[in-house]
Parts: sequence; C-alpha cells; structure tokens
Amino acid sequence: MSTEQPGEIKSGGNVLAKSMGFSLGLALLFTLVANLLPQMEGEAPVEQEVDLGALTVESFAALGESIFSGNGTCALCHNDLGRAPDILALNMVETAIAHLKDERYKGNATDAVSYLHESMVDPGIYVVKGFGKKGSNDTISPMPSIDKPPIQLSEIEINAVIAYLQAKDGHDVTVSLPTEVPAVETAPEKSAGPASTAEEVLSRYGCQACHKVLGSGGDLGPDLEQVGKRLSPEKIRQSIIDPDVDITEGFSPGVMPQNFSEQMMVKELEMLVTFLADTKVASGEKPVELSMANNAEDKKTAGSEAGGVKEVVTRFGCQACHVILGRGGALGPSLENVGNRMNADQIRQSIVEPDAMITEGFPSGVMPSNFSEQISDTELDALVIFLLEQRDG
Amino acid sequence: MKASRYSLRWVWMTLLIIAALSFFWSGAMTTSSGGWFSEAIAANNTSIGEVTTENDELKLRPAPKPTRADYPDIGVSSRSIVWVVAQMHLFFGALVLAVPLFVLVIELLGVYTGDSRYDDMAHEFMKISITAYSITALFGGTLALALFLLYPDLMAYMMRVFGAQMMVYGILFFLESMILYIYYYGWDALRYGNAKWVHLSLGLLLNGVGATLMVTANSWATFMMAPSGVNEVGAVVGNIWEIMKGPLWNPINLHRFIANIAFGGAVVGAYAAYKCLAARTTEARAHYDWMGYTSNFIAILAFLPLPFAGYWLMAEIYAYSQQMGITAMGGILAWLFIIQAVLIGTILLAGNYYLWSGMSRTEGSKRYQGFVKYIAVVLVICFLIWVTPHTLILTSGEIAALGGSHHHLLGPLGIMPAKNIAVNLMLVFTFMSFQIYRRSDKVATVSWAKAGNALMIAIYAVAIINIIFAGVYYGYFTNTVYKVGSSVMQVMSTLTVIICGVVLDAFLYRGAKTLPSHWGQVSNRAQYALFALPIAFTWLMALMGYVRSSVRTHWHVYTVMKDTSPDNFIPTIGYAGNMMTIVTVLFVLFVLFIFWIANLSGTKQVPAYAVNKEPTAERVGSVT
Repeated sequence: MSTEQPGEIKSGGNVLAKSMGFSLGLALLFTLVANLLPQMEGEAPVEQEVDLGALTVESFAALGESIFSGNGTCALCHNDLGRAPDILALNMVETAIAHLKDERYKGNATDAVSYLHESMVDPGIYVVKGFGKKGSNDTISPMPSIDKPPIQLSEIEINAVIAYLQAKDGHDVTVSLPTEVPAVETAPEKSAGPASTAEEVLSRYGCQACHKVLGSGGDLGPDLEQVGKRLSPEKIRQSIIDPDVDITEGFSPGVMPQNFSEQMMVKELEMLVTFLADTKVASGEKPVELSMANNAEDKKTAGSEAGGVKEVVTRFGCQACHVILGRGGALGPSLENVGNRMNADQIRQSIVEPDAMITEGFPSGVMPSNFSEQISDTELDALVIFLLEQRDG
Repeated sequence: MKASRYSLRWVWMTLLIIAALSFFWSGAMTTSSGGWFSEAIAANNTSIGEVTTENDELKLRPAPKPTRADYPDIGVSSRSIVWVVAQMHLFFGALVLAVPLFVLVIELLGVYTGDSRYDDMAHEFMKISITAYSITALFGGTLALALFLLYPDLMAYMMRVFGAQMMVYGILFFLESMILYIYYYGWDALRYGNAKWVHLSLGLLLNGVGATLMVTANSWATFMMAPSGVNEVGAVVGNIWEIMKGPLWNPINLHRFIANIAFGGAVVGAYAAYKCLAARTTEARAHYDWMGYTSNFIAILAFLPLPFAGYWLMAEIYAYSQQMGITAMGGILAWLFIIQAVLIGTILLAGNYYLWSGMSRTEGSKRYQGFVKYIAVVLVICFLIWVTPHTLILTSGEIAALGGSHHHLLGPLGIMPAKNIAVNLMLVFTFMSFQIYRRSDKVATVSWAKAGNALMIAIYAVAIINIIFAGVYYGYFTNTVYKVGSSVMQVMSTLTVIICGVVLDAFLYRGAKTLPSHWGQVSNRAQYALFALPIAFTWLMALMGYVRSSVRTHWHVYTVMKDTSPDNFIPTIGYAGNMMTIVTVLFVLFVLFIFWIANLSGTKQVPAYAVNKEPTAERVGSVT
C-alpha cells in the first residue's frame, strides 16, 4: 500500500487505454459517417470505339447524348443549377441563330452547326451574358476548349454532340457524319427526328419498362391498357410531362422520370396522348388480342422471331433506366461496362431476379421482377452474352 | 537600454538570415545571376527557338503516355501503398514544420517576459518534434522509393520537369537537419545573455529553411494539379521558376502553412493532455494543464483563419478550371464536404468545450458562464445545418414519404448559402468563447470600459445580422452570381469581429486587475477534448488531401499526363474513409511512440541500492 506524498494526486486509472479508446472511437465514428453516405465510384472516361460502318443519324445523336453526360462532362455545368446555360432546357438551334444575330458576336460561324462547333472549340468568342468569368464583364468564358485536355473530344465526338443538340428538339440533323463512312450508309433507315408511330414512341422512351401497354410491360407504374377510360387526353398529357402532379392511387411519386418534356418531341407527345386516349375505344377489341399476347409461350416465340440483342434491349425498355449502347437513363446502374464487374451468372440473376443483388448506390424494388416471364430463354442467353461483352480495356 | 541592444541584434540576425536565404534562392532559381546551380538549372530554362542540346531535346519531349502494362503490378494496389506512405509523410512533415514555428514564438515570449516556464515548455515541445523529424525522413524516403518503383513513368517525367530543383530540396533537407539538431541540443548551452539571441536566430533560420522546404515540395503537388511552364503536351518550355509558380502554388502554401500550425498545436495539446491526466503531482498537473491550454490556444487561433485560406484556394481552383472546381464542390467529391462539416464541427465543439471547462480555473469566470449555454445552442444548430445534405439518393418509398427528392423545410438548408451562414456563425461564436475565456480572470480598469464593452457587443450584433442577411438575401432571393459574392461579405464580417475583438481587448485590459487562476483545476473530461482535436485534425487533413489529389480525376498531371493505371478511378467515399481511418490510427500509434521516446529521454533508472532505501517502489523509473 503506497502512501500519498504531499502534493501528490491520483491519476485517473489507465490513461493510455482510455485515451486510445476515445481516439479510436472517434476515428471510427468518422469512418461510419463516410460509409453511410452514397457510395459511388468515379470511373475514368472510356474511349468508345465507334463502328463507323454501322453509324446512323440516330445512333450518332445517341452517341452525342452519351458524350454530353459522360466523357464530354458537359452536364457538369450545363444543367439547371445556373453554372452555365441550361442546354437541356434551351432549344440550342434557335439559341445559336439568336446568338449569331447578336452584335456582341465576333466569330466566323454562319449557321447553327458552325456556331455550335465554334462555341465548343473556342468558347471565348461569344460569352452568354451573365456566364462570363467573374470580373471579365462577360468577355472571358470559364468553359475549357473541349477539343483540348482535359476533355479532349475528337472531331467526330464534337459533331456527335452537335447532332444530339439538333435532334433533341426535333430539328433535322445537318451536321456531317464522319467522312470515313460510305455515303450510302449515312442515309439513315431511321431518322433521329420524331418517331413515326405511337408504338415507336413507347419503345423509344421505354414506357413498357414500368407500364403495361400493348400487351406487355412492368408493374412499377399504372397499367395503361385502358388508361383512356380513366383519364382525359389533357390529364394523360400532364401525367407524361409532369408525372408527380396527379399520382394514381397505390403508386409513388418521384419514380417516373421528370424529363420527358425535355426529351420527347411535341409530335411524339401528341401521338402518344392520342394513342393512349384511344385505348378506351379499342378496349372492346383488344382483350382478345391481349389475352393472346399475354400468353407467355406465344410471347417467347414472338421474342425469338424478333431476333437481335439490340431489339431485345429496345423491346424491354432497358434504356429507360440503364445506359447501354451509348444512351439511357440513370435510374439503374450503367451497363456500359457491366462485363467488368459481373460474371454471366450474376448478370442473368440481375435480370430475372433483380433484387437478389443490388448495385451499391441504387435502391431495390425499382426494376421490374417479371422479366423472366416475358423473355425467352434464347433472348435471355443472347442478352447475357451481349452484356458480358460490355467491358473496357 | 539593454533590451534595445538585444532588439538591434535580433534585427541584424533576421536580416542576415533573410539575405542568406534570398541569396541561396537567387542562385538556385535564376539563370542570369549564374548562381550555384545555374548550370544544372539551365536545362530547365530553354525556350523553343534556342539552340538545343541533347539535354534540351529531352526537355522538349512531350509527357509520357504510359499504358496499363507500363505500371508494375506487385499484387497490391499501388495507389493504396502510396496513399498511406504519402499521408504519413505529410502528417509528420506538418508536425515538424509547425512545432518549431510556435516554439520560436514561445521562446521569444520567455525572453521578453523573463518567465522561464515558457522556455521550458518550448524545449519540451521541441523534444516531441525532434523524434518526429526522424520519422518524417523515414516516411519521405519510403515514399520516394514507392513512387519510383510503382509509378516510374510519372517520376521520370517529374524529374525531367523539376530537374536540379530536387537537388536543392535534398540540400535544404540536410541544412534543416543540421540546424534542427544544433537548435535542440544547444538549447541549454545557448540559454542566457547574447547566446540566447544566437539560439533564437538559429530558430528563425530553422523555420526559414523549413518553410522553403515546404513550398518546394508544394510546387510538385501544385504542378500536378495545374501545370505551368510546360506546353499542351507536357514539354518543358519555361524555366524552373515558371514551373513552380503555378496558379495554385501560393494558395496551397498559405493553406498548408496555417493548417500545419493548427495541426501541430493540436498534436502537442494531446501530449499535454495525456501528461496532465497521468500526472502524479499537483505541480505536474498544473504545468501540463497550462501546456494543454497554450497548445489549444495555438491550434484554435490558427484554425480560425483556415477556412478563409480554403476559400482562396478553392476560388483559385475555380479560376484555373471551373470543371476542376465543380468536380470538387458539385461533382462526385461533393459528398466529402459533408464529412468535412462533421470534422470541423467536431473541432469547433471540442475547442469550445475545452474553453468552457477551462473557465473553472478562475473565480472571475462566473460573470460569463451564463453565456455558455446560448453559445452551445448556436453552435449545435449551425453544426446541424452544416451537415444537412442537399441531394439525397432515396428509394421510391422514401421519396413518397418525403414528398419529393428534397425535403420542403430541410432542403433549403442543404445549399451553400445556409452552410456559409452556419460556418461563419460558428467561427464568430467560437471567438466569443475564446474572448470570454480570456476575459474571465481580468477586470478592466480603464475609464471607458463600459463604452468599450458596448462597442464590442455592437460589433458582434452588426456582424451576426450581416452574416445572416447576406446569406439569406443573396443566397435565396438573387441569382447564382451574387450567391458566391455574398460569402465575401460574410467572411469580412467574421474577420472584423476577430480583429476588432483582439485589438479592443488589448486596450481594454491594459493595466487590468488580475483575478486568481488555478492551473490544474480543470475536469478530466476537458483533457479528452484535447484528444478529439488532433484526431479530427488528422482525419481532416487526410480527407482534404484526398480531395485535393482527386480533383485531378484520371490525370497524373492534369491535362498533360493521363493516369492509365488500374487505380485511375475515384474510389467510393466508404473506401476512402476506411483509408483515412487507417492512416489516422497509424499516425496515432507513431505519435504514441514519439511521446514514449520523449518520456524515456527524461527517465533515469534508480540504482538498486537507492531502491532498497526507498520505502515505496512507485518511484522506480518515475519521470524526473
């Protein structure tokens, strides 16, 4: 037993263990915060190989769209946050023509295409009012030349972005396709302009990924087979362009993409509204047709006849939620390099049983779980092999 | 008379040292003066059009474009290895550069006040720094080895760009080592009279060389972020000075300089806290309580202007490349600033808590204790606003429950104007804690004391109203351009409070009556606040270093040399967070080793015969 000397005090137990425990606990708390936040990886841009021989105007514009939000990093500033003009909200062809007429314009462009090209490679020639570098009185642009590092787009990629900017608002794509492509192949089978039928609209915008219509589709959104009975054309139009205003009972707001009004051309929108409104008229005839189409075996046969993985991707509306073949939504993970992170079994499972394994950062319960009933075995195999081949390096 | 003679010597010494350093750099940096390294440096100075030698042709070669196969694969992530080693080198580098800085100030304070406690404390701080210096060098060597081994093409290019400047760095390192050892081991030999001024001059020289070392190494990092002196393809077209003075060099220099002081203060504060908790005598507890208080004072004082240096750095990043700025603040790295808010919030809350607890040392503090709860409420509210995220990734069910992707009340709190209000108010109220702590053992005796207090209250009121008004009006009711501009008004308000508070108190408490203070009379919990500070600082340094490095995305040298290694992606926040905890824990373990060594050097074994005479065995091996 020790005797305490005058001026001596008792220290508070094992100081080393306590201080270490406290320090470690605090460090772990910070780690916990880091692990609770959304987990996303920032992948280095992958140089896309463009099959020039198979290029159409539509695929060229689609390539431009993927560059706009991907390698080109345009969407980083050109969005609705006020950092730069909101290109997705503006009609860029009309905007370009207006800028050419502005007395502040000192460049050499003569039309919308040459203006858009110039604005990308030499953005300082014309600075949109309010978006110049601070203190420069809108004489210096903060935008980098996109043909130089760090963005460094090629001439083909720049033209693809121009094609996208033209096509997104329904203008004809007048930018020239890559010269290496034989002239005969540049004549597109499908135009990047408006879809020609309502069925094409449904397919292009992947409506069937979430809604049942024309005999197939998911159940994430309300059944549209007889939507004309429930909703007026005005209500249908509103539900497409501003989906959260009036939610059908039993369904959640915020799920349907809000940007169809930006993507869909007016002609397409009206065609779709008319088609859906007419479903009440056709309802007397359709059940027979639909009951046949709903037969899984029949559908599987039809599917195999359709042939081509790209058609499978289009028919099942994969691009409504996933980026694949250079375009698509962001509701689900990008499938562009899926082959790098998944093997064949995992890809197959993700299609037929999507909630069994969820990619980090994406919610479960969003992807329809009934693809296994709709897709034939042959189609599924082809799709799995196709996705497995989507890899970089 | 005596003091003025000393001051004159001090001025002469200072001028001599500045002249020596200037001469050194003029010789090293310029070609026209024909300095010591002019021949070697000349290789860096060739411009296109001059007659080129073989060496010049090498300089004019573009940056290498390695393929993935050019990176050695050793079976472990190269980036992770370099990440850990570089971060450890930076932690210890920051510590050994910062400690001599405030040691010099404390030593000088000891000379002017004649209080030997300052001198003893400064010496004890240096004891910690001297061991840390060796560890810094070890990690520096390991880092160089790892970089040359794992990133050979990058390092070959960096050597080609910086050339002989790296030799200058090596020489400075030797110089720093020599001065450091003389400064530390000559402490007692040069303690009094004129010798003390020689010692102080050595301290100044040590800091001069240390700062030069830091800015030299900073130029490598800032070159990789914003290369200058090279053309579009990375060929060297400028001289070494043009290569070094890129747009981010000075902002980084200032930011690191201030941050190092805050970090160094926090680490030695933890040392003092540990010793205070483990003290066996009231004298030792009082000494280490005082040491802890001084360290906390240094850490928080350096920390207060740090956000403004950060503003400048980020503004320069935006000016250099808006894309780089948005990648950091609005892109994939933006979520890291939520963790930054948690860390800075922890630092401010811990710093404030320590000050409030410390008020128990003096009876005069009762006058101010009523303010504490209000300050605490403001700090907590501001902290919560700061950590409120704007954009959430939600499931459809959560979106339905929330009524949209942004909460109608909390959503507006997630954007920068709200956060700017919160952070500025946190700084203002932290300064208020500091001010009432400083005032608690004094009673002003000047005739205008009441008017002075009223003026101080008015300055606080105007500043707080201005910070809130500028944030709300310009942040929510005008367009984006003004949003950014409003932060300048807020920062100016905060700085005005700090500067006016310091100046006003200096005059207000001149000749003030001093109330008794009892060092050591503080709760043990307060000491744990001093552990929280270095942990949060270390984690914060790791975090912000990671952000600074990651804004280059997939480039080794931004726009000039691409990173094509297998690790050229930005990892998830969770992965990065785990790495930060690993380096923090490693740092803590090494710091413990340093503390143990510092104690060991003062421990003397008692001879066996003396033990037999001593009635208690506790004194064996006790710290003398």
